[in-house]
Amino acid sequence: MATATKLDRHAITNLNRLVAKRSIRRSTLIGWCFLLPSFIGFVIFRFLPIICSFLLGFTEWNLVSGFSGIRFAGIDNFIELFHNDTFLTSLLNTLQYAVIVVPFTVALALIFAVIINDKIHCRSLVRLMIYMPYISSMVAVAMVWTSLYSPNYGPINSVLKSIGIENVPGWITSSNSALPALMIIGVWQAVGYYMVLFIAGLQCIPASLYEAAEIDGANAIQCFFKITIPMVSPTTFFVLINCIIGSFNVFTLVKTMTTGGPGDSTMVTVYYVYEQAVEYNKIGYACSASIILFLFVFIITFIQLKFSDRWVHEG
Amino acid sequence: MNKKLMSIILAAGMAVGMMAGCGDFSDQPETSEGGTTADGKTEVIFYHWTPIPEMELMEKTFNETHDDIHLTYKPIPDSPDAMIKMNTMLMANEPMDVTSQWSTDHLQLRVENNLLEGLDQYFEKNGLDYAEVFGSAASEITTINGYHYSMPYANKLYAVMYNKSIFDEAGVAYPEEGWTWDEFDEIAKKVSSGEGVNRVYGTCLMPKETWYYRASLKLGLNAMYKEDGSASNFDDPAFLESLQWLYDLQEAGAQKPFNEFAEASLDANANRTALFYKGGYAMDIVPTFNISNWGSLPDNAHDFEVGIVTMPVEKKGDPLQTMYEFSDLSMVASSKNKDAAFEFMKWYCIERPDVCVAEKYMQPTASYFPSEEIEQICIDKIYSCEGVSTDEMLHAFTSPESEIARIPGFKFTTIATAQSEVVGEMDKQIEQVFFNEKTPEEAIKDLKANADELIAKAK
Repeated sequence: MATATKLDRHAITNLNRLVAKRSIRRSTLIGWCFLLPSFIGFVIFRFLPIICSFLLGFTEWNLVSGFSGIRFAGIDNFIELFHNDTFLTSLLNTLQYAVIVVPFTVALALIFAVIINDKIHCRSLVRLMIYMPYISSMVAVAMVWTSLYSPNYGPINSVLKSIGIENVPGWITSSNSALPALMIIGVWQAVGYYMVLFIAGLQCIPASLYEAAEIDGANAIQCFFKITIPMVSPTTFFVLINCIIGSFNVFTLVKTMTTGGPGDSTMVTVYYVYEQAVEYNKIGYACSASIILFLFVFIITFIQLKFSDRWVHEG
Repeated sequence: MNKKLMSIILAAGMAVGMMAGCGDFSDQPETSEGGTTADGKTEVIFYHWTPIPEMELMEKTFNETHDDIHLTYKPIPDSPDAMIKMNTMLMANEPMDVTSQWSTDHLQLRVENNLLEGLDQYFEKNGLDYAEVFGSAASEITTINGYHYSMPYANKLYAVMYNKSIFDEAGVAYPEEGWTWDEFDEIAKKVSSGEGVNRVYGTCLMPKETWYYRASLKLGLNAMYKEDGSASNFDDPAFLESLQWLYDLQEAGAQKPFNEFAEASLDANANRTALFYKGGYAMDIVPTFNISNWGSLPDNAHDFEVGIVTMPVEKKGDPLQTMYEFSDLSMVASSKNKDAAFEFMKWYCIERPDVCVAEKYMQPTASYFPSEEIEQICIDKIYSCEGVSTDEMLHAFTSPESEIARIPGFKFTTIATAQSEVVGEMDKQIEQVFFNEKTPEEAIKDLKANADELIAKAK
């Protein structure tokens, strides 16, 4: 009787395992059915082109010559790239853009998030106003800022002249100020999106921490640096990575406002890739430039991930 | 409904939606693959960047007048990527019989890669002489390795249009045929008036497109290359003189400063023309459609008369000149219906300029009109506009080559080595001159060095 009971229990356990496995298999199948159209699209329109791009970076290919015109070029493209002044300038400009835009964007986004997270008047309106640039059409943004940046009659220079600044910048009409002009727009447009992410991160910080700090006599600044920043570090990490990747991919602003000029002062790597591929049909050469850009972004992101343990507080 | 069934239905629905979205529901004959239609007609597929409304009359008229050929017009949106899209389709052997290109370097690239069909055999079969029909200038430009690969359908000849009211207010006499560039400059300075945002300028020429005009007119075909195409020709003094001319005009306050172009999007021809019709400046160097087409648009309504005169010359007594560009059609090498394609091209370029070219307000390329009726329709459409003398316009734009020499446009070359890149480099240097970051001498020196490097690499 005991043996039969033991056997029964064993059988029941096996049966349960079988049912569980079938259930998991069914759920997996259902999940894949939902994922499949999107996954197929991702493979065809993202993954395969990325692989092709890597392979084409080692070839010399004018698009018009067709597939029969593809010639293996080894590392010739890369050698030519690093001897090309315009490409090197584009790398430098892209780095400069990232080095300035990222810290300003992250800092401003966090400050705005802290302010808006508090109960201020018209909080929703202020949040909307800061977020609006992010959802605005880049072309419309470019047109508006082009007018603002008008060196002779634009409002920005008019205000600067009215407060006594005689040597006003030429903004996008001057090599010295064109890239800073684009940086300002880059920060202005991106701050809203990252502010929303920071607000979400701030709302996860337990209020008890601030209460305890207040009891211990900490002021607002101390709370900000000792509590807010460490506790929001996972969000900061995510924002940093996205912001760096986004700043390395700057293209639309350059295309709509300056086309890389004056001279090469706003030539960035993505625009250089576009120019070589679309305007000059040099597909292989353009792909090799994009590989260089990918390596830059990969290395920076890898370093960030590697050292994230030291400053990201997982709570 | 259980989850499995629901997920399958949803996934199937998404897949069907995707397929449906990729489908073509246009009203085409049963085949658009360059074969024969269901009713036995030979199909000719024509790709171009002109929007459908401007081609409707042409497509309808051709199909009504040709019992054996059905024309299918397929537009490609007019954007900077249009050429790359068309080239990709050509490479992929997309069914296509007739196409076009933006400039001669695109034409040469396609010919080098065997994408286009030579046309001479078809001209011979139809008893036509290319140079006789289209003129020696067009014949020279479209000849590659001894063969013609395109037929021009619409000419762009340039003349000067001017706002008579501004001239009257300034007390300046209207320019006359045979005037010189020095007179052009003097007039531009005299008619400029006002200050600040409301200043009326003598000219608003787009520096990147016009700085080389005088050099191009002086040097002729392939101006930017040395004779053998081994290097650029920017060290010719004509280029520095031409650049200095326009720069000096800007410095004198007669040409709108280039740093004011961006805010009003004046890099676009249509916007500059709109500014002309608002009285923003006095003179411009333009083809016909700026006057007869854009001048008739409701947004460009104006209350002044527009004068037209031929382009200036270097010194008094010099022969009249104008810049000459054209739009053309080519037959695709993979076309399945080449005779029918040529029939369509001949009809489009020679026989019916009234429905094909006049609709665009451009000038027909053929040296003759098939009938007086067609000629009159073209004249009424292309050269007539309120406030403009048709005779004046006809004379400035249509005088034969023997009266006004047609100099091929700067980018209409028979040598095309690294042309796109040289032009890109040129734009970069010239921009810096007109933003006052470089002197004309520095820019020309750098342009020569960089252009030579690009040409050497391309060879």
